[in-house]
Amino acid sequence: MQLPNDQRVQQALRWVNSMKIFNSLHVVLIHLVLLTGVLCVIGNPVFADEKSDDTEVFDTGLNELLTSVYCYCGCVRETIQACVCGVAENIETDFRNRLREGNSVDQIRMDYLEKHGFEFSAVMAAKGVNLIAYIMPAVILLALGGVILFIRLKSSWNKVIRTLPDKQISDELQQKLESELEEYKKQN
Amino acid sequence: MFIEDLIVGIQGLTAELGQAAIFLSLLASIWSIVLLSIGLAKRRPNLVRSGRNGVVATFILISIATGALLFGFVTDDFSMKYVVEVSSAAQPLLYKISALWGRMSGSLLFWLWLLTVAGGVVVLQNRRSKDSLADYALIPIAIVQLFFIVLVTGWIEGVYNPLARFPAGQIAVDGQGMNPLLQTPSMAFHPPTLYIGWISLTVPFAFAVAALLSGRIGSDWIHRSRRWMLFSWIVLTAGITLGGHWAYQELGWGGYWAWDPVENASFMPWLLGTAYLHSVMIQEKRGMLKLWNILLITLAFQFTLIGTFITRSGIITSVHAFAQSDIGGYFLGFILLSTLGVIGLIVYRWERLRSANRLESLLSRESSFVLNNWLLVGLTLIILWGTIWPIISEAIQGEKASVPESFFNQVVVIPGLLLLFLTGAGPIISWKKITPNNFKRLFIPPIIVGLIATAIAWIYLTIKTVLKDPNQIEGGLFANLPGGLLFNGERFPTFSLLCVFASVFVLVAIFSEFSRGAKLRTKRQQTTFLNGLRLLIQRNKRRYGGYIVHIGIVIVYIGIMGSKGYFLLESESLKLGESMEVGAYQLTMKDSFQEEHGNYFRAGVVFDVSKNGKHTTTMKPARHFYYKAGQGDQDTIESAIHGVGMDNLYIALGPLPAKIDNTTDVNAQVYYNPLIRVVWIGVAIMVLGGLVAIAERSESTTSS
Repeated sequence: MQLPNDQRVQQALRWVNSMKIFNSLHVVLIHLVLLTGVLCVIGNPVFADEKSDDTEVFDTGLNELLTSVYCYCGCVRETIQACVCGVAENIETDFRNRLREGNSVDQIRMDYLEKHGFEFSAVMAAKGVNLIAYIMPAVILLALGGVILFIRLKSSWNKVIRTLPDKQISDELQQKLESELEEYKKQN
Repeated sequence: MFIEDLIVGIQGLTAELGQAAIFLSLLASIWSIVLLSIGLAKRRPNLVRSGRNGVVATFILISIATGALLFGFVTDDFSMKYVVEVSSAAQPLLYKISALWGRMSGSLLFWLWLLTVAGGVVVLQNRRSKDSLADYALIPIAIVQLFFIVLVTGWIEGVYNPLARFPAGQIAVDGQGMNPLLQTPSMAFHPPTLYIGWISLTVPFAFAVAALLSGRIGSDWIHRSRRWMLFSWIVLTAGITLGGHWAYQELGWGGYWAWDPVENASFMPWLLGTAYLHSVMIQEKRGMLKLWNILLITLAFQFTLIGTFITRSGIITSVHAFAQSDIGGYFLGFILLSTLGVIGLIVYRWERLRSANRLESLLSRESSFVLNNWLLVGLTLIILWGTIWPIISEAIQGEKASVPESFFNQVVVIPGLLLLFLTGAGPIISWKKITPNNFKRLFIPPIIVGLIATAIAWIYLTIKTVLKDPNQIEGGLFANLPGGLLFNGERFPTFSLLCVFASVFVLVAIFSEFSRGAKLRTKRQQTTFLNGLRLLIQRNKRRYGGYIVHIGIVIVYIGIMGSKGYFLLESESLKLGESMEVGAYQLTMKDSFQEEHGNYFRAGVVFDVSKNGKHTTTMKPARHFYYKAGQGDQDTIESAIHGVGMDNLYIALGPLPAKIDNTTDVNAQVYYNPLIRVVWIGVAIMVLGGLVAIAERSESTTSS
């Protein structure tokens, strides 16, 4: 049977309503909370760019170095790439030379951090202790969502006793009211 | 000569007068707390009146102290320790005045003064009030004032009295000057706006405590503090943006937000304030979330103190290192004590804090506000987590981790996008429950338009990526985030497209709301559409002001997407006459210049900017060399910024050689920041919306 578009949407929404999906807030909230948590967790914070030839490898490596450590000149939290001071310029030259000599990005980076301190790292890889830092935002959202769900469930248990008189009007009545309102708007 | 003698004569008195005023204000605030408490408990109007007068007296006394310090700055009284530390004779008047909050002691006095102004205004606003709610609110205000008065007396270690003189009548020849980084117009206005925003948050918090103290847990405290909350939100919005603007101009890294701990400290109360502005509507309309609202405003207030704690304690490295001292412990103590106090009151009033209703359906406005609160509070806690992670990591592994910008970008992007979607969904859902008819009518058109816009954006971005060298697109919020899917060898711009979809969805949803309402008004009043729109906003400023804010937020998101996700950066060392390219622009370093100013020396280079061989503009990035630098570095970066439509071409210079010619190198960082002006425009619209919303009188004001 071919239904008109309007009717089909109405029928679908009625079906969804009859399944109590919209009414069971906690079910939808659980999905939302889990989805957010999963999305927060799946992100891999450090990316390696694709490499095709030697120049590109060199440029990618240099770029990685310049953006993965902070300058120690006194400008707080500016990467070598962003810092415009003379110190940053010298560091960049040093990085270039060392890359040309065949040192690896990780090796150069490690030497820099060992010399100046790990607080100058502009990259926080999601491994070791730092993994906790990356997981915790999802945990925070999940925990907060859990608290909301708990409160919501608790209030729905209480409702049986406390809020029976506060019953809402039915969908039919609400539709009737809306159609009358539309009618009134048309007349005026 | 006579005037000079007079000034010297007054200078001999001002510091002592100011110090005496601070000590007297200590007594006045204790007087207020004690008399208000006893007067309200014993229902003795005379005592309450006297307590109120104590709050006014505190304001007058702290005004005298602040005035004395300002007089010291303006008249170069170098017998005062604080004046010498942050000012100098050659400093322009604007920066002599802004030196008041240039370092710890003065900024605390300034904070205190603003707090006493707030106390005075609360007394003034409620002078004819027939109930005692405002009097109860004066107690927490006076307690916070007392805490700050104690800090500026100079009795505690770590901060000296800003009006203290050098011992044995010593007078310095000149001051050390203010940190050059602070000598910019943005910095002259950024800290006071933030302070005003933070301090205005104290008043709604005080009314929440007043509700708990008095037992009047209804919506009255919310109505009475509504304008304060909105005012705080508007000022904080402006203050945070001014800070970003300052960073953009002065720090030379081409950005305006780097998730610095102090940026976060200002942003967290803003997020909580935003959550509160939404959740109070549920209490007003449906009698729900009473406890949550009290907790939320308490958290927002405590986060203003946490911000100060982070800024002042030096526990976390920040660009605001100039304001550090060891008073963080006192702030932490006060935060803990005041939180415990509020928790105690909540326990005491537990029975009255129960909700009168419950959430009916997910598809209701109150549910969307609950989701909005979940995300806003979640974001606040996530940002706090990232901010304090260096301390936690040090405790775990003995080594302070450095939390990069990319960490924050990554963890906030999903909740941020969900929030953006709710910005449009919330206003169009009805209270209690949406019917299928309404759902179809209100949601489907914005969703369809959003999807079409997303498809167009996808095609546009794909064409752009294919045509341009992909390596030109530098990292940032959206471009480098994990998309999962790959397209044409490049990362699929998932978050950019989600942002486009949500933005268009919100804009269509909100404009439809405006259009529907305006059409109805037009019909009823038999007038033009524009007049109908005006009437619509005028009749319900709070609601439609809020919608304007939402439009502003969408615009800010679009600006962030463009400027953070698609900026270009080129860094090169150039000699005079040499050129470099950024995107479609060619920049040639043509000339150099040097200029002498009052308290600094300006040196820089002239860039000839052209696009496709056509001269576009001339840009003059420079560096300033301050003769007196106080606690900061002597030279500052003065970026040159050129507007190209909604984009910016931005040049910052590295250290300059003594002589600039065709044999010496000058390091230049050139950024092309797309849509960055959209960010500033979006914030301006947000502020405008806030102003519209604040113009509506609250129910209690109207009824009185």
